Amino acid sequence: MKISNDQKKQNRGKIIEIAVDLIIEGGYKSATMRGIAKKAGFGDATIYNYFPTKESILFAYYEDKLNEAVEKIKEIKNFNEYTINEQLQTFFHIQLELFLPDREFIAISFKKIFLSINQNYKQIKSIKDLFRTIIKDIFDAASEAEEIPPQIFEEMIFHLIWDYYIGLVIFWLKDSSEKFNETTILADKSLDLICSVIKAGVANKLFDLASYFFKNHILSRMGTLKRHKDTINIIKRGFLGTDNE
Amino acid sequence: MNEIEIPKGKFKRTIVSTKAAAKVGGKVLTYLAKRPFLSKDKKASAKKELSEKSAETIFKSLTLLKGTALKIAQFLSMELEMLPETFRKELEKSYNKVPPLNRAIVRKILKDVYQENPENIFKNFEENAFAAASLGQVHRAETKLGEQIALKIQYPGIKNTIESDLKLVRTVIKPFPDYAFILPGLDEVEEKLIEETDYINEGKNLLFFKKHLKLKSVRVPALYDDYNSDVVIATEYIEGLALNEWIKTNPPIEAKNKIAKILYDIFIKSLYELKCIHADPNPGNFIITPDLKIGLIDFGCIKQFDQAFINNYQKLNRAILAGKSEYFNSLNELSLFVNHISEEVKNNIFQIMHKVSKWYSRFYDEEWFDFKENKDIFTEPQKLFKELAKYKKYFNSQPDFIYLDRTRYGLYRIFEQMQVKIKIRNSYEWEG
Repeated sequence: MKISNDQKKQNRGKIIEIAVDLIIEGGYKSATMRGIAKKAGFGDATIYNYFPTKESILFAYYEDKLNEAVEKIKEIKNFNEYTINEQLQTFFHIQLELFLPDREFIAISFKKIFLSINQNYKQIKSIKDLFRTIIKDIFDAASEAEEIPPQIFEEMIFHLIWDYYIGLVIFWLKDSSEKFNETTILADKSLDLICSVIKAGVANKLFDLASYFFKNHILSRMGTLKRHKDTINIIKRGFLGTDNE
Repeated sequence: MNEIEIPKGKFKRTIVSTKAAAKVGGKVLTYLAKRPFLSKDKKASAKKELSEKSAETIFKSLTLLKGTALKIAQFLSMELEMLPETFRKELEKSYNKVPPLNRAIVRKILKDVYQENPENIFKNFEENAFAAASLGQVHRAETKLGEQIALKIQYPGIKNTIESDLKLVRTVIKPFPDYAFILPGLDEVEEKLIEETDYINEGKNLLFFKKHLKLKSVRVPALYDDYNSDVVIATEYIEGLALNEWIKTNPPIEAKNKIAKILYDIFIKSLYELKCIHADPNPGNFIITPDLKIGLIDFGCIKQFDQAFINNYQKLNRAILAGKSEYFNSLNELSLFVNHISEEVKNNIFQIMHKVSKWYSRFYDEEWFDFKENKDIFTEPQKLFKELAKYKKYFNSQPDFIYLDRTRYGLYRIFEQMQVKIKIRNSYEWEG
């Protein structure tokens, strides 16, 4: 039987939804592929057409939520007028808002996935890449609008923001304040700081400073090093264990 | 940049406050360490110097914190001495100037309250605030029915901030000789501030004034209950300029006199008929409409009085103005003093109080009081209150009295700024 793409998408969503429910109710271990399939009304084998492993359902969940967040952001009419800080904050708030109904599921699965150094590297990477695209969009727009200077260590900054995102979600999971106000305030204060650092181009300036040191102090010492060529060669030989240069 | 930087983060708040504590603490220590070697006179002067210097330090640090701490500072200034000049300037600067909430947080708060994005709730919603309120900020919006409203949004977690700020202030003032005197006042301030964070309560206050404060030239905005929660309050948007902005436009003196009269009417009527005053005489809370009426807004800080207090206060006023010796009895009835005072001290206090009452009755000397012709009117009380401050350990802390005085004094300072001519005499206080 051939099924349409729409139907496929719907089934996929249903499986994720049921998996989330079962994991909230009975924990990660007791939710089995068979159990999920049964509750979703699929044959035991059909579910594997959608997800090869139970873990892959988790990854799909997080990937979907990122996509949903993007859709929600698109609904905000003047999002383009927001500062980079406001855009990032809105993105994180929307993401947490989408997580909220499944908070217990997030509590069970989030650390398991994102904090363990495991064999799932490849699947995390696809989530991370999606996240990176979103953040990069925000950065590119800000840089185009000349709100921030072009960043030299863009890649490093994305990694930092990714780590920040993980940290924020974990903080949120532990936040017991009314309406998770503590998380809101933390996000506000910390992103304020992060964005000021980015706007001031601190990373660029550090790079400038480092290259200044390198040029003026390392490169200019090269002359001195040359003079001690013989000594260096002796040391080198010692290391390489040969008599040749 | 000339302005002092305002510490925003909690962390920095703590640093600034501990800085103050360390500074004050350090001075107290010097004082204590010095004590054994000082003669009696010198001890007294050392102590005086200490309290003046540390008051200054506390004010400086508190003004850096702004927000809640500023309110406390405002209160302390009433207790320690009558508004030091530099501090008053800081206060004025703070009117309507709180670091704004960014759009992301505004959205988040509204989403929490309405479970919907603001664009789905309102026909129009301005994401940038048009005014700052004491503990939040105000946005303009248009309901789906086309009503223009002002939406006040509270900064998230402000309650906790108030609590932690007050904890800090209590720690900071602990080394003070006047600690015990200030403490009950601080409790009152905390209670008031927490009350101010409850917008449901503010809505009730607003309705109370709307129902009872029937003055021809005063508009109390309507309340839009459908949009209210404990952290968001929606009221009718009143077209016009905040009083401080309006003064800047250099309106003619007749207009200024008219506005001042309305302000004074609001105060007198609220006090003697409603027994409940709008206790935040911040010029930002009075909107001057194009047809020269006053829109009264922000009912977060109101103060209720019981009949006995009002009676005593009224009696006190009348006694002062009649120049009768009953005046001292009235002071006693307000239980302004502690029980055991030597005759000598009593006499000294009464002498100063006599001067205070003399000064106070100046406002009533003639039918019209012209602030323009009495430029010196506020130099004298500052001196007198400094003198009185020497005896403050003989005074009971009287939050009711302080709120009332603060409001009245605040109002008079506004009149001074406007240079108006106004009838201070009124049927409740003046028997002509």
